[in-house]
Amino acid sequence: MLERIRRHPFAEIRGGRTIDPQTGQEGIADLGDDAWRVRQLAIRDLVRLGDAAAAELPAHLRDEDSHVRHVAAAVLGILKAEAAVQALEARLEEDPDPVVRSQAALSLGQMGLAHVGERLTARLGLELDPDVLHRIELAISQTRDGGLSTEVADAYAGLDERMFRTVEVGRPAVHFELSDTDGHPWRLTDLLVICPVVLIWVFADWCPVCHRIPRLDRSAEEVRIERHRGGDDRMPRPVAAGS
Amino acid sequence: MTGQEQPPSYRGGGLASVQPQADYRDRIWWPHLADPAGVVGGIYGVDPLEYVVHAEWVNRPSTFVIDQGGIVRLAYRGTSWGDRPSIEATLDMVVTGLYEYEHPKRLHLA
Repeated sequence: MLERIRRHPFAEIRGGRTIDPQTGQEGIADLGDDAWRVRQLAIRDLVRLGDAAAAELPAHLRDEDSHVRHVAAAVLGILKAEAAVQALEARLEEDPDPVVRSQAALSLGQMGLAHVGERLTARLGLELDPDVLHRIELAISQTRDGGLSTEVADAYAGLDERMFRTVEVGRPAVHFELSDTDGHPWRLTDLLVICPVVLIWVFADWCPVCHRIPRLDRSAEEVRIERHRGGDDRMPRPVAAGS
Repeated sequence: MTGQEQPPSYRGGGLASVQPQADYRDRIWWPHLADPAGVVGGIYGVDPLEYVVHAEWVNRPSTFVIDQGGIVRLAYRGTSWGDRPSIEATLDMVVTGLYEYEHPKRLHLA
């Protein structure tokens, strides 16, 4: 599985950002690009291996390929492989790639171990990259929250590539249920009974564009009022999802 | 995922002012759905882990509108971090029923 990562021609990452090989701009222009699929399925397959992967992956945290190191660190976090704590801490301290250091920090936080949280806190005074520092802060918070839910590993293990990108304009949406940040479950079917649904995928807590989402609440209220005046009090309902 | 923008100390304010933020995840200011394994994201084609921004693998910023008949009216998948319709543009599309949008900075293949 790691060979699939090693062989894949991922786009260059410069200054913590992917550079599109075709346009030279930040991002990926080709909507058919399969970098995410290769990464996602490698993580899934390693998570499915469970303990065997947890035992094998620490050795790959020193692989010469930074993508391999990143995936190894990610899977060890998802599996909450406590035996890998020292190896992950070494990556956080020593890895030359900020993407790997960031993932090492997140994976350490996902363990939910208090003593790891203390060492992460100490790391705040030593790390120089602001992106990695932020990830350490998140990891410390997650440590305090008890770490990653085991449901996340189950969700990764259950990923079905036959369902990937089966939603398109003009066709029926695929129904789902997800819990929000307060633990409240939301079902698409329930919402559609009330109103049309807007789904907005944000991708990071620091995302400046995504942070304009609170305005959606106000805007939706305005729309509701406008529609009420027009005799229709149904309103579009704001829902956002993040990974 | 927390939905909390970083304070100025993180964005260019100098590293000396960065402090441990024990309550960082408590300061969520809007509820959002969590899809940590990208299960729904994969189905909707937002490509979880497609590219790196700020040293983090992220999905394409994406916006979908689903009408009450359950039919997808808008499926906008971003090519870079800022490539998505604004909230106002999205609501305009919902109100008018005209789902046509392209961000001015959208990347195009040669």
